[in-house]
Amino acid sequence: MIGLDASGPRNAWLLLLLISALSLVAAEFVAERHVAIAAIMIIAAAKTLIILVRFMEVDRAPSAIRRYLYGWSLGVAGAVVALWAAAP
Amino acid sequence: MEAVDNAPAGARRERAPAIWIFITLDISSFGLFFIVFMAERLGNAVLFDQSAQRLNAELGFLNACILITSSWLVAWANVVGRKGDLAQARRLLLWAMAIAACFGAVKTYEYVEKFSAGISVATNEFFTFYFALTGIHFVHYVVGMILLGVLAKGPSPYGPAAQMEANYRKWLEGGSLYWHMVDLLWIFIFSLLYLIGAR
Repeated sequence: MIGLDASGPRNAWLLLLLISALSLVAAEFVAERHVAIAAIMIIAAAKTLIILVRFMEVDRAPSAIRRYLYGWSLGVAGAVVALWAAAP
Repeated sequence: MEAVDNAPAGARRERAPAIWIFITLDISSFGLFFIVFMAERLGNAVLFDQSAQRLNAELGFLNACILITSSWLVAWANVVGRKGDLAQARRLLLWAMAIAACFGAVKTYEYVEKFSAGISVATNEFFTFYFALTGIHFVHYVVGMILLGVLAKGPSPYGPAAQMEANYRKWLEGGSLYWHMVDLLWIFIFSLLYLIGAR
């Protein structure tokens, strides 16, 4: 799981700031649109997972809710990429 | 400054079960909203992309950093609150609020800038979504700020101190989870409206 490498909320915070900057760089400087969009949404999903794990401590939520929240993060990011790619 | 949590596993589940259900329902609603936005974009991708380029991605990024920092301070407040250091928790909450206030200022500036340029909710379909998504998120933000403000006052003085402190820690758990949700939702709004469309 992304975020588990960080040793605590402070490291998670620094990691979140860093990858937020990366998503801005991807949006503005990656020439290939498909790659940029995929990168932006992968980073969005990763940031969500870090917040769930490190800040919200989702491992303490009921397991069904935990699984749902993981699924939501990945599912919405995946759906956004798929719908973007489906546009003419 | 490292936040180390010594609470027993399952503590949050025992203390704040209802807030998890609320968060699940709330982010589900937003998730549907995000998918509807992208589905609507299918019919007019050019309009959506051109409109998105009128948004300021740097301001969206600044707001993301503001909420992430505020969220970290709230997470830290929650950890020290569990350890019983409520005075430190309250100080951290005040810092979190002070930083989060910048989000409101930036968002207000953005709205004024849009209205000044003649852009409103009726301009086109993209901006209807823009104002709806960011507006609903802003309402969540305001509710979160009120919650943080109430929590920053500390435990209620009306009642037995031990019971009031126990109640306070329960509300601190729930309030911090709510605030993290506000941060989490902005991550998707920022990516969807400010970054994807700008490509």
